Amino acid sequence: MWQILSIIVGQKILLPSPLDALKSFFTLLFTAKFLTAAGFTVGKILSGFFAALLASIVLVIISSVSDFAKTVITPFLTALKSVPVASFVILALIWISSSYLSAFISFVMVLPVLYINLLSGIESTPSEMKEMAKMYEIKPLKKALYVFMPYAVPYFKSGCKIALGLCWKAGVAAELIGIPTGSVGEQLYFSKVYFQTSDLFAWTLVIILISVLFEKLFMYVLELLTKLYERI
Amino acid sequence: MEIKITNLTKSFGDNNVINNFSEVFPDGLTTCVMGESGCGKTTLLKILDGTLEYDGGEVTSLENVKKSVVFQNDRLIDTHTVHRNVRLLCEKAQKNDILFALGEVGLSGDVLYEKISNLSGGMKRRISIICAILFNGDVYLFDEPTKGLDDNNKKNVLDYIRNNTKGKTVIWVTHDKDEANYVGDKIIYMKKEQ
Repeated sequence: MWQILSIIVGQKILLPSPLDALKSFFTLLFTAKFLTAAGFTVGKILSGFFAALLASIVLVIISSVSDFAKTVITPFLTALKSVPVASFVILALIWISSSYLSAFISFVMVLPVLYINLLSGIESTPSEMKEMAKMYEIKPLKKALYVFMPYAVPYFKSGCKIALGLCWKAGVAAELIGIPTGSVGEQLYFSKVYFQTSDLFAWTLVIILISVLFEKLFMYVLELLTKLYERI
Repeated sequence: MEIKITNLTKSFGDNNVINNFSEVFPDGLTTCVMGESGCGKTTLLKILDGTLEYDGGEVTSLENVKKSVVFQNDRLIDTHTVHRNVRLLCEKAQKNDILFALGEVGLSGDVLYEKISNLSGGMKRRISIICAILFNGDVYLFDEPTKGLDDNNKKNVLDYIRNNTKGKTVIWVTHDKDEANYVGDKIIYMKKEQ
Protein backbone atom coordinates (compact mmCIF):
# COMPACT_ATOMS: atom_id res chain seq x y z
CA MET A 1 0.00 0.00 0.00
CA TRP A 2 2.78 2.38 1.11
CA GLN A 3 4.83 1.45 -1.99
CA ILE A 4 1.84 2.02 -4.30
CA LEU A 5 1.08 5.36 -2.66
CA SER A 6 4.70 6.53 -2.97
CA ILE A 7 4.67 5.60 -6.69
CA ILE A 8 1.41 7.54 -7.20
CA VAL A 9 2.71 10.58 -5.29
CA GLY A 10 6.06 10.30 -7.09
CA GLN A 11 7.95 12.74 -4.85
CA LYS A 12 10.40 11.49 -2.23
CA ILE A 13 10.02 14.68 -0.22
CA LEU A 14 6.30 14.09 0.24
CA LEU A 15 6.28 10.32 0.58
CA PRO A 16 9.45 8.25 0.25
CA SER A 17 9.10 4.57 -0.66
CA PRO A 18 9.48 1.90 2.04
CA LEU A 19 12.79 0.95 0.43
CA ASP A 20 14.09 4.53 0.77
CA ALA A 21 12.95 4.65 4.37
CA LEU A 22 14.62 1.32 5.13
CA LYS A 23 17.80 2.45 3.35
CA SER A 24 17.86 5.60 5.52
CA PHE A 25 17.15 3.49 8.58
CA PHE A 26 20.10 1.14 8.01
CA THR A 27 22.40 4.03 7.07
CA LEU A 28 21.31 5.74 10.28
CA LEU A 29 22.09 2.69 12.42
CA PHE A 30 25.79 2.95 11.63
CA THR A 31 26.19 6.66 12.30
CA ALA A 32 27.53 8.24 15.49
CA LYS A 33 24.55 10.57 15.77
CA PHE A 34 22.21 7.56 15.97
CA LEU A 35 23.81 6.24 19.14
CA THR A 36 24.13 9.64 20.81
CA ALA A 37 20.60 10.80 19.90
CA ALA A 38 18.92 7.47 20.70
CA GLY A 39 20.95 7.12 23.91
CA PHE A 40 20.07 10.65 24.99
CA THR A 41 16.34 10.27 24.34
CA VAL A 42 16.04 6.74 25.73
CA GLY A 43 17.92 7.76 28.87
CA LYS A 44 15.76 10.83 29.47
CA ILE A 45 12.42 9.22 28.71
CA LEU A 46 13.14 6.13 30.78
CA SER A 47 14.40 8.16 33.72
CA GLY A 48 11.10 10.08 33.60
CA PHE A 49 9.17 6.81 33.39
CA PHE A 50 10.95 5.16 36.30
CA ALA A 51 10.74 8.31 38.42
CA ALA A 52 6.97 8.37 37.77
CA LEU A 53 6.75 4.66 38.60
CA LEU A 54 8.41 5.24 41.95
CA ALA A 55 6.43 8.41 42.66
CA SER A 56 3.12 6.70 41.82
CA ILE A 57 3.86 3.88 44.28
CA VAL A 58 4.74 6.37 47.03
CA LEU A 59 1.65 8.50 46.32
CA VAL A 60 -0.66 5.45 46.25
CA ILE A 61 0.72 4.32 49.62
CA ILE A 62 0.07 7.81 51.03
CA SER A 63 -3.44 7.88 49.51
CA SER A 64 -4.21 4.43 50.87
CA VAL A 65 -3.39 5.35 54.44
CA SER A 66 -4.81 8.88 54.45
CA ASP A 67 -8.23 9.82 53.11
CA PHE A 68 -7.24 13.47 53.27
CA ALA A 69 -4.17 12.88 51.11
CA LYS A 70 -6.31 10.91 48.67
CA THR A 71 -8.82 13.75 48.31
CA VAL A 72 -5.95 16.12 47.55
CA ILE A 73 -3.80 13.91 45.29
CA THR A 74 -6.44 12.11 43.20
CA PRO A 75 -8.28 15.14 41.73
CA PHE A 76 -4.94 16.86 41.10
CA LEU A 77 -3.53 13.93 39.17
CA THR A 78 -6.83 13.33 37.35
CA ALA A 79 -6.72 16.94 36.16
CA LEU A 80 -3.04 16.53 35.24
CA LYS A 81 -4.02 13.65 32.96
CA SER A 82 -6.11 15.99 30.80
CA VAL A 83 -3.47 18.72 30.35
CA PRO A 84 -2.10 18.78 26.77
CA VAL A 85 1.56 17.87 26.31
CA ALA A 86 2.22 21.23 24.57
CA SER A 87 1.16 23.21 27.68
CA PHE A 88 3.57 21.24 29.83
CA VAL A 89 6.37 21.66 27.29
CA ILE A 90 6.02 25.44 27.30
CA LEU A 91 5.97 25.52 31.09
CA ALA A 92 8.90 23.12 31.31
CA LEU A 93 10.95 25.24 28.93
CA ILE A 94 10.42 28.19 31.27
CA TRP A 95 11.22 26.19 34.41
CA ILE A 96 14.03 23.82 33.39
CA SER A 97 16.78 23.29 30.82
CA SER A 98 15.60 21.78 27.53
CA SER A 99 17.92 18.80 28.05
CA TYR A 100 15.67 17.57 30.88
CA LEU A 101 12.50 18.30 28.92
CA SER A 102 11.68 14.76 27.77
CA ALA A 103 12.36 13.32 31.23
CA PHE A 104 10.01 15.86 32.80
CA ILE A 105 7.29 15.38 30.17
CA SER A 106 7.53 11.61 30.39
CA PHE A 107 7.22 11.92 34.18
CA VAL A 108 4.12 14.15 34.18
CA MET A 109 2.37 12.15 31.47
CA VAL A 110 3.01 8.78 33.06
CA LEU A 111 2.47 9.64 36.73
CA PRO A 112 -1.34 10.10 36.62
CA VAL A 113 -1.86 6.94 34.55
CA LEU A 114 0.17 4.77 36.91
CA TYR A 115 -1.28 6.39 40.04
CA ILE A 116 -4.90 6.02 38.94
CA ASN A 117 -4.42 2.42 37.81
CA LEU A 118 -2.57 1.36 40.92
CA LEU A 119 -5.08 3.05 43.23
CA SER A 120 -7.99 1.44 41.34
CA GLY A 121 -6.29 -1.93 41.82
CA ILE A 122 -5.90 -1.39 45.56
CA GLU A 123 -9.51 -0.23 45.79
CA SER A 124 -10.71 -3.30 43.88
CA THR A 125 -9.72 -5.48 46.85
CA PRO A 126 -13.02 -7.00 48.03
CA SER A 127 -14.32 -5.61 51.32
CA GLU A 128 -14.55 -9.20 52.66
CA MET A 129 -10.79 -9.55 52.28
CA LYS A 130 -10.24 -6.27 54.11
CA GLU A 131 -12.54 -7.49 56.89
CA MET A 132 -10.61 -10.73 57.06
CA ALA A 133 -7.30 -8.88 57.27
CA LYS A 134 -8.69 -6.82 60.15
CA MET A 135 -10.11 -9.81 61.97
CA TYR A 136 -6.92 -11.83 61.71
CA GLU A 137 -4.87 -8.77 62.75
CA ILE A 138 -2.60 -8.84 59.70
CA LYS A 139 0.21 -6.29 60.04
CA PRO A 140 0.14 -3.28 57.62
CA LEU A 141 3.16 -4.31 55.55
CA LYS A 142 1.94 -7.89 55.18
CA LYS A 143 -1.53 -6.58 54.37
CA ALA A 144 -0.14 -4.36 51.61
CA LEU A 145 2.09 -7.10 50.17
CA TYR A 146 -0.19 -10.12 50.42
CA VAL A 147 -3.78 -8.87 50.61
CA PHE A 148 -3.86 -5.75 48.43
CA MET A 149 -1.05 -6.55 46.00
CA PRO A 150 -2.67 -9.56 44.28
CA TYR A 151 -5.61 -7.32 43.35
CA ALA A 152 -3.40 -4.36 42.40
CA VAL A 153 -0.98 -6.26 40.15
CA PRO A 154 -3.27 -6.67 37.07
CA TYR A 155 -4.20 -2.96 37.23
CA PHE A 156 -0.55 -2.02 37.65
CA LYS A 157 0.47 -4.10 34.64
CA SER A 158 -2.17 -2.57 32.38
CA GLY A 159 -1.21 0.90 33.68
CA CYS A 160 2.44 0.22 32.80
CA LYS A 161 1.50 -0.90 29.30
CA ILE A 162 -0.46 2.31 28.66
CA ALA A 163 2.22 4.45 30.32
CA LEU A 164 5.04 2.92 28.28
CA GLY A 165 3.35 3.81 25.01
CA LEU A 166 2.53 7.27 26.29
CA CYS A 167 6.00 8.17 27.58
CA TRP A 168 7.65 7.64 24.17
CA LYS A 169 5.01 9.58 22.27
CA ALA A 170 4.92 12.47 24.73
CA GLY A 171 8.70 12.49 25.31
CA VAL A 172 9.62 12.67 21.62
CA ALA A 173 6.85 15.23 20.92
CA ALA A 174 8.31 17.37 23.72
CA GLU A 175 11.80 17.10 22.22
CA LEU A 176 10.42 18.17 18.87
CA ILE A 177 9.06 21.35 20.44
CA GLY A 178 11.98 22.05 22.80
CA ILE A 179 14.72 20.74 20.42
CA PRO A 180 17.28 19.73 23.06
CA THR A 181 20.74 19.30 21.52
CA GLY A 182 21.63 15.71 20.61
CA SER A 183 18.14 14.28 20.94
CA VAL A 184 15.94 12.23 18.61
CA GLY A 185 13.52 15.17 18.64
CA GLU A 186 16.26 17.39 17.25
CA GLN A 187 16.96 14.83 14.48
CA LEU A 188 13.26 14.77 13.60
CA TYR A 189 13.32 18.56 13.45
CA PHE A 190 16.37 18.54 11.12
CA SER A 191 14.62 16.00 8.87
CA LYS A 192 11.71 18.40 8.54
CA VAL A 193 13.88 21.51 8.01
CA TYR A 194 16.10 19.85 5.38
CA PHE A 195 13.18 18.01 3.73
CA GLN A 196 14.79 14.63 4.45
CA THR A 197 11.48 12.81 4.67
CA SER A 198 13.07 9.37 4.43
CA ASP A 199 15.16 10.24 7.54
CA LEU A 200 11.94 11.26 9.27
CA PHE A 201 10.52 7.81 8.54
CA ALA A 202 13.77 6.18 9.63
CA TRP A 203 13.81 8.01 12.98
CA THR A 204 10.14 7.20 13.47
CA LEU A 205 11.00 3.55 12.89
CA VAL A 206 13.79 3.85 15.45
CA ILE A 207 11.37 5.27 18.03
CA ILE A 208 8.80 2.54 17.33
CA LEU A 209 11.41 -0.21 17.60
CA ILE A 210 12.92 1.12 20.82
CA SER A 211 9.48 1.63 22.34
CA VAL A 212 8.24 -1.85 21.36
CA LEU A 213 11.48 -3.52 22.48
CA PHE A 214 11.47 -1.76 25.81
CA GLU A 215 7.78 -2.46 26.39
CA LYS A 216 8.30 -6.18 25.67
CA LEU A 217 11.37 -6.30 27.91
CA PHE A 218 9.71 -4.38 30.74
CA MET A 219 6.52 -6.45 30.62
CA TYR A 220 8.57 -9.65 30.51
CA VAL A 221 10.52 -8.62 33.61
CA LEU A 222 7.27 -7.59 35.32
CA GLU A 223 5.75 -10.98 34.47
CA LEU A 224 8.82 -12.75 35.89
CA LEU A 225 8.62 -10.68 39.07
CA THR A 226 4.90 -11.46 39.39
CA LYS A 227 5.57 -15.20 39.04
CA LEU A 228 8.40 -14.96 41.57
CA TYR A 229 6.11 -13.07 43.97
CA GLU A 230 3.40 -15.71 43.61
CA ARG A 231 5.86 -18.52 44.30
CA ILE A 232 7.53 -17.08 47.41
CA MET B 1 -15.77 -16.62 77.52
CA GLU B 2 -19.54 -16.44 77.76
CA ILE B 3 -21.32 -14.47 75.06
CA LYS B 4 -24.63 -12.94 76.07
CA ILE B 5 -27.17 -11.50 73.64
CA THR B 6 -30.20 -9.61 74.90
CA ASN B 7 -33.09 -8.36 72.75
CA LEU B 8 -30.95 -8.14 69.63
CA THR B 9 -32.61 -6.42 66.68
CA LYS B 10 -31.34 -6.04 63.14
CA SER B 11 -33.15 -4.89 60.00
CA PHE B 12 -32.09 -4.34 56.42
CA GLY B 13 -34.45 -1.61 55.24
CA ASP B 14 -37.97 -2.96 55.80
CA ASN B 15 -36.69 -6.49 56.22
CA ASN B 16 -36.62 -7.25 59.92
CA VAL B 17 -34.10 -10.10 60.08
CA ILE B 18 -33.54 -10.41 63.83
CA ASN B 19 -36.16 -9.23 66.29
CA ASN B 20 -35.66 -9.28 70.07
CA PHE B 21 -33.34 -12.26 69.98
CA SER B 22 -31.86 -13.26 73.30
CA GLU B 23 -29.44 -16.10 73.97
CA VAL B 24 -26.46 -17.10 76.05
CA PHE B 25 -23.53 -18.89 74.43
CA PRO B 26 -21.82 -20.67 77.33
CA ASP B 27 -18.12 -20.40 77.97
CA GLY B 28 -16.06 -23.29 76.65
CA LEU B 29 -18.94 -25.01 74.87
CA THR B 30 -20.01 -25.43 71.27
CA THR B 31 -23.41 -23.95 70.49
CA CYS B 32 -24.95 -24.87 67.16
CA VAL B 33 -27.31 -22.36 65.63
CA MET B 34 -29.93 -23.83 63.34
CA GLY B 35 -32.91 -22.45 61.48
CA GLU B 36 -34.33 -22.04 58.01
CA SER B 37 -32.59 -19.89 55.41
CA GLY B 38 -33.03 -16.16 55.97
CA CYS B 39 -33.70 -16.45 59.70
CA GLY B 40 -30.61 -14.35 60.51
CA LYS B 41 -27.97 -16.95 61.43
CA THR B 42 -25.25 -15.41 59.26
CA THR B 43 -26.36 -11.93 60.30
CA LEU B 44 -25.91 -12.99 63.93
CA LEU B 45 -22.38 -14.22 63.23
CA LYS B 46 -21.53 -11.00 61.38
CA ILE B 47 -22.73 -8.98 64.36
CA LEU B 48 -20.59 -11.12 66.65
CA ASP B 49 -17.48 -10.90 64.46
CA GLY B 50 -17.92 -7.12 64.38
CA THR B 51 -18.41 -6.67 60.64
CA LEU B 52 -22.07 -5.68 60.99
CA GLU B 53 -23.67 -3.06 63.23
CA TYR B 54 -26.86 -3.98 65.03
CA ASP B 55 -29.92 -1.77 65.53
CA GLY B 56 -30.89 -2.55 69.11
CA GLY B 57 -30.28 -4.75 72.11
CA GLU B 58 -27.10 -5.76 73.87
CA VAL B 59 -24.30 -8.05 72.78
CA THR B 60 -21.15 -8.99 74.72
CA SER B 61 -18.42 -7.04 72.98
CA LEU B 62 -15.88 -9.20 71.18
CA GLU B 63 -13.92 -6.18 70.00
CA ASN B 64 -10.67 -7.07 71.72
CA VAL B 65 -11.20 -10.80 71.65
CA LYS B 66 -9.17 -12.98 69.28
CA LYS B 67 -11.72 -14.52 66.92
CA SER B 68 -11.21 -17.47 64.61
CA VAL B 69 -13.79 -17.21 61.87
CA VAL B 70 -14.82 -19.49 59.03
CA PHE B 71 -16.97 -17.37 56.74
CA GLN B 72 -19.76 -18.71 54.59
CA ASN B 73 -17.64 -17.96 51.50
CA ASP B 74 -13.98 -18.83 51.69
CA ARG B 75 -11.77 -15.78 52.04
CA LEU B 76 -8.55 -17.01 50.55
CA ILE B 77 -6.31 -15.27 48.05
CA ASP B 78 -6.42 -17.21 44.80
CA THR B 79 -2.99 -16.19 43.54
CA HIS B 80 -1.23 -17.28 46.74
CA THR B 81 -0.26 -20.81 47.70
CA VAL B 82 -1.89 -22.72 50.55
CA HIS B 83 1.26 -22.16 52.63
CA ARG B 84 1.18 -18.41 52.14
CA ASN B 85 -2.54 -18.12 52.80
CA VAL B 86 -2.20 -19.98 56.08
CA ARG B 87 0.96 -18.11 57.12
CA LEU B 88 -0.68 -14.81 56.25
CA LEU B 89 -3.44 -15.40 58.77
CA CYS B 90 -1.47 -17.44 61.28
CA GLU B 91 2.04 -16.03 61.47
CA LYS B 92 3.14 -18.50 64.11
CA ALA B 93 2.10 -21.59 62.18
CA GLN B 94 5.15 -23.58 61.09
CA LYS B 95 5.37 -25.71 57.97
CA ASN B 96 5.03 -28.89 60.04
CA ASP B 97 1.91 -27.55 61.79
CA ILE B 98 0.31 -26.89 58.42
CA LEU B 99 1.33 -30.29 57.03
CA PHE B 100 -0.09 -32.01 60.10
CA ALA B 101 -3.35 -30.05 59.81
CA LEU B 102 -3.61 -30.91 56.10
CA GLY B 103 -3.38 -34.60 56.98
CA GLU B 104 -6.00 -34.21 59.71
CA VAL B 105 -8.56 -32.84 57.27
CA GLY B 106 -7.75 -35.45 54.63
CA LEU B 107 -5.54 -33.38 52.36
CA SER B 108 -2.18 -34.45 51.00
CA GLY B 109 0.93 -32.47 51.91
CA ASP B 110 1.45 -31.94 48.17
CA VAL B 111 -1.10 -29.13 48.19
CA LEU B 112 1.08 -27.01 50.52
CA TYR B 113 2.65 -25.08 47.66
CA GLU B 114 -0.34 -25.31 45.35
CA LYS B 115 -2.10 -22.10 44.37
CA ILE B 116 -5.58 -21.69 45.87
CA SER B 117 -6.97 -21.15 42.36
CA ASN B 118 -5.96 -24.74 41.51
CA LEU B 119 -7.93 -26.26 44.40
CA SER B 120 -11.50 -27.54 44.44
CA GLY B 121 -14.24 -25.91 46.53
CA GLY B 122 -14.02 -28.63 49.18
CA MET B 123 -10.24 -28.26 49.43
CA LYS B 124 -10.55 -24.47 49.80
CA ARG B 125 -13.12 -25.01 52.56
CA ARG B 126 -10.72 -27.22 54.47
CA ILE B 127 -7.90 -24.68 54.08
CA SER B 128 -10.20 -21.99 55.52
CA ILE B 129 -10.88 -24.25 58.49
CA ILE B 130 -7.15 -24.90 59.00
CA CYS B 131 -6.56 -21.12 58.99
CA ALA B 132 -9.22 -20.61 61.65
CA ILE B 133 -7.93 -23.42 63.86
CA LEU B 134 -4.23 -22.49 63.57
CA PHE B 135 -5.09 -18.86 64.36
CA ASN B 136 -6.10 -20.25 67.75
CA GLY B 137 -8.74 -17.69 68.69
CA ASP B 138 -10.44 -17.33 72.05
CA VAL B 139 -13.82 -17.56 70.32
CA TYR B 140 -14.67 -19.58 67.21
CA LEU B 141 -17.36 -18.47 64.79
CA PHE B 142 -18.21 -21.01 62.11
CA ASP B 143 -20.67 -20.35 59.31
CA GLU B 144 -21.54 -23.69 57.72
CA PRO B 145 -17.92 -24.90 57.87
CA THR B 146 -18.63 -28.25 56.21
CA LYS B 147 -20.53 -26.76 53.27
CA GLY B 148 -19.55 -28.56 50.07
CA LEU B 149 -17.71 -31.45 51.74
CA ASP B 150 -18.44 -35.10 51.07
CA ASP B 151 -19.36 -37.39 53.99
CA ASN B 152 -15.88 -38.82 54.42
CA ASN B 153 -14.11 -35.45 54.49
CA LYS B 154 -16.89 -34.01 56.60
CA LYS B 155 -16.19 -36.56 59.33
CA ASN B 156 -12.45 -35.73 59.26
CA VAL B 157 -13.18 -32.01 59.44
CA LEU B 158 -15.71 -32.33 62.27
CA ASP B 159 -13.23 -34.36 64.32
CA TYR B 160 -10.41 -31.94 63.52
CA ILE B 161 -12.46 -28.96 64.66
CA ARG B 162 -13.83 -30.74 67.72
CA ASN B 163 -10.38 -31.87 68.88
CA ASN B 164 -8.90 -28.41 68.44
CA THR B 165 -11.64 -26.29 70.00
CA LYS B 166 -12.04 -28.15 73.28
CA GLY B 167 -12.65 -25.72 76.11
CA LYS B 168 -13.26 -22.80 73.71
CA THR B 169 -16.49 -20.94 73.06
CA VAL B 170 -17.73 -21.98 69.64
CA ILE B 171 -20.74 -20.67 67.75
CA TRP B 172 -21.49 -22.96 64.84
CA VAL B 173 -24.11 -22.18 62.21
CA THR B 174 -25.38 -25.23 60.37
CA HIS B 175 -28.39 -26.64 58.52
CA ASP B 176 -27.38 -30.21 59.24
CA LYS B 177 -29.06 -31.80 62.30
CA ASP B 178 -26.63 -34.74 62.46
CA GLU B 179 -23.69 -32.34 62.37
CA ALA B 180 -25.23 -30.25 65.15
CA ASN B 181 -25.84 -33.35 67.28
CA TYR B 182 -22.28 -34.53 66.68
CA VAL B 183 -20.42 -31.33 67.57
CA GLY B 184 -22.91 -29.28 69.58
CA ASP B 185 -23.05 -29.12 73.37
CA LYS B 186 -26.10 -26.94 72.92
CA ILE B 187 -28.37 -26.46 69.93
CA ILE B 188 -30.55 -23.40 69.43
CA TYR B 189 -33.13 -22.73 66.71
CA MET B 190 -33.67 -19.29 65.25
CA LYS B 191 -37.07 -18.42 63.85
CA LYS B 192 -37.60 -16.47 60.67
CA GLU B 193 -39.22 -13.09 61.29
CA GLN B 194 -42.41 -12.54 59.33
